[in-house]
Amino acid sequence: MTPAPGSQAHSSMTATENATDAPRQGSQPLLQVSNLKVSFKTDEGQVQAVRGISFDVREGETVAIVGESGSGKSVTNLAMMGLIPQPPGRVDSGTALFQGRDLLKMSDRELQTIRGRHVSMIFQDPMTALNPLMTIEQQMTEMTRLHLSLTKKEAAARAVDMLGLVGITSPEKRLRDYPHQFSGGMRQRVMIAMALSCEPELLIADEPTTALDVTIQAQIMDLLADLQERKGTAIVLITHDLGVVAGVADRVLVMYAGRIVEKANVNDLFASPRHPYTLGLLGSLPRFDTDRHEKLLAIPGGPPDMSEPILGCSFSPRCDFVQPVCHREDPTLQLKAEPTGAANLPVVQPHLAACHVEVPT
Amino acid sequence: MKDLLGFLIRRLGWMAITLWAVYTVSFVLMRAAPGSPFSAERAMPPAIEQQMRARYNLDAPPLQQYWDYMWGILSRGDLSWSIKLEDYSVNQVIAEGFPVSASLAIFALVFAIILGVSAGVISAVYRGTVADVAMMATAVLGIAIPNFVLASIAILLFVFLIPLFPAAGWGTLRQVALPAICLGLPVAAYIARLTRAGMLESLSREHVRTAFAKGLPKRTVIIKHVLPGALLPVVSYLGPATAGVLTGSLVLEKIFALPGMGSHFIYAATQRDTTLATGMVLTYTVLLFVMNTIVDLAYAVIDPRVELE
Repeated sequence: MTPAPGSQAHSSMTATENATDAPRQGSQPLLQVSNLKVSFKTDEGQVQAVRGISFDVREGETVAIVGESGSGKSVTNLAMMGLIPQPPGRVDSGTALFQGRDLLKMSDRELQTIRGRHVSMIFQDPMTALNPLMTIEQQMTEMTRLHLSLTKKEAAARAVDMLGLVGITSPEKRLRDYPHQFSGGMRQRVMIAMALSCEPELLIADEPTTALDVTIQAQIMDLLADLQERKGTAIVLITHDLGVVAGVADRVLVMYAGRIVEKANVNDLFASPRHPYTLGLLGSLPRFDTDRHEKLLAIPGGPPDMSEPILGCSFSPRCDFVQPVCHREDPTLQLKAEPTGAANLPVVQPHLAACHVEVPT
Repeated sequence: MKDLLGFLIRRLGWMAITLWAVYTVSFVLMRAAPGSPFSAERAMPPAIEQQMRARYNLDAPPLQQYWDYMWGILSRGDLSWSIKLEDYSVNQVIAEGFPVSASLAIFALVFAIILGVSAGVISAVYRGTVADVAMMATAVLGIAIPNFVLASIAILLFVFLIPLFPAAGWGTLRQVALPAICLGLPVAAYIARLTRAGMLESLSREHVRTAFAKGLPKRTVIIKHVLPGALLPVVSYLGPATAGVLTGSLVLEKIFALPGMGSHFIYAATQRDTTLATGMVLTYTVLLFVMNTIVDLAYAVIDPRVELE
C-alpha cells in the first residue's frame, strides 16, 4: 500500500545527488524529505524560505541541521509537521515521507495522529513553550490520554515516570505545579519528558538549548543523548551552535539561504569542511588554543534577500574562494569525498557540498 | 486558603474605608448643593418646615447630623426614613428595588458575556472572513450607540412594529428580556472586541504551537489552550462593565418603567432626598466592590501566577 521507501524520494533529485546520496548501509530511513520548497507571502513579495531541500533520517540516529537565523532550518521542520501558518506560509513542492507516508499530503486529522505520537517537537524557549495556565500534569496527560488512550490514573503515573526519567526530583509533587514554578532548565526537561511520553520514533529538537545557560545546555544535551540511547528515538537537532553539533550528532546538514550546502558525517565535517560557508562557520568559533586578544573571525556581509530570485551560488557575494562561474551557475550537491571511519558509523554519509570550487582542506 | 481569607479580610477593610469616604463626600455634596428637600415653588409655612426639619434631624448642627446618621447605619443598619417618599424607610426602598436592579444587571451581564465571548472567538478563529468583518463592524456600532438610544429603537422595533415584547412592566422573563438586552449589548460589543484581540494574541503564543505539535485537535487547542488566556482581559473588564451596567440601568429602568433602584436614585438626587440618595450611593458602592472582588478572585483562579494581595 505504501510506496517502498526511497522509490519516490529520489525521483525529484538532481542526477548528481541521486548517484551519491543513495543509502549504502544502516537502518531503514524513517523520514525522507525530497525537494521541499516553502515560501511566505510578505509585503516585500514571496520570500523563498526553503528552496528545495532533501535529506533523510534513519531510525535511532541524530541528524543536526545547522545554519544561521533565516536559513530555513526551522521552517523546514515546521512545514513538515503542518505547523506553519497558511497563509502566509505555503508548501510549494516536495514530499516528506514518514514511514512511507507523505506528511505534506495528510489531512489535519491524519497529521494529528502523527504529531506527538510518532513525531514530537521541542522548542527553543522553554519559558514560553509551556502553557502558563495549566499544570504540568494537565499538559502531560492530555497527550498520552489522547494518543495512547490511557485513563487519567495511568496517564498521571506515566507522567511521573517520565519526569523521573528526565531527572526531576519528587515528580509526584511537581506534577501539580505550574510552569512558572520551574527554572528554565527544568522546564526544558519537562518539555522533553512530555515530548517523549508517547515514545515517538522521531524527536525534532528546534534549538533546545539556545535559551539556556551554558552549564544547563550541556546537561540538556547529555539528557537527550542518554534518552536516545535508551529509547532508540531518532533526533533531528536544529541549531546554530556547532559546539552542540560536535557533541551529539551523527550526521550534519549545513543550511544556507534555504538550501543544504553541505552534508557529511560529523567527524568529516569538522575535520575537512568542503563548503566555504561551513569553513567560515568553523572559523568563527572561539577555540581554547587561540590567543584571547585575537578577534573572532566573522563572515563578511549578510545572507541574500530571499524575496528576489538568486542568480548563481547564494553564498558567492560573501565567499573568499569565489570564481566567475559562481555568479552564473547555481551549484548542486556533489560528492566531495568518501566518508572516513565508515565502519563505526550507524549511517554512512558521503561527504557532499554544493560548491563549484575545491576548498583547500 | 489562608491567602484567600487574608485577601477577603483586607478587601473588607478597604470596603469599609471606601464606604466611609463615599458617605462623607455625598454628605458634604448634598448639603453644599443649593436648595433643600423642603424648597418648593410654594413655600412651606415656617412652622411646618421647622417641624419637618426636626423630624429628619436636619435642624441639628451639620457635624451632629453627620455623626448621628453614621451611627444609625453602623449600629442598626438603619438608613433612616426617606424624606420625600412618605412612610417609606430607605431600607424598604432598597429592599424592594434591589432584586429588580440586580436581576436586570445579572441578566444583562450574562447575556453580554455569552454573546461577546462567542462572537469574539468566532471572529478570531475565522479571522479576515466576512463573518469576522461583519461582527466587528457590528461591535463598533454597539459600542458607539448609547443604550438609551438603543432602547428607544428596540422599543419601536420589537414592541410596536413587531410586538415580540411588552413595552414595560416587571416580573416575567419576557419583560426582563428587552431591557436586559439593551443594557447588555454595548457591553457585549466591547467584550467581543476584547475577546477577539485576546484570542489573536493568545493564538500566536508559542505554547499554542506546542499544543498543536502535541497532536491535539484544533477544537481542543482553541478551547483549552487559547481561550483561557484570551479571557483574562475580559475578566478584568467585568469590573468596569458592572459599573457601566449599573449606571446604564438608571436610565433604562426609567425608559422601561421598571421598579428598580435606578428610578429612585434619580428621583432622590433631583428632589434632594438626602437620606435616600445616601442609601443608594452606599448600595451601589457595595455592589461595585463585591463585583471587583469577584473579578480579582476569578483572575487568580484562571491565572496561577497571580497572587491575591
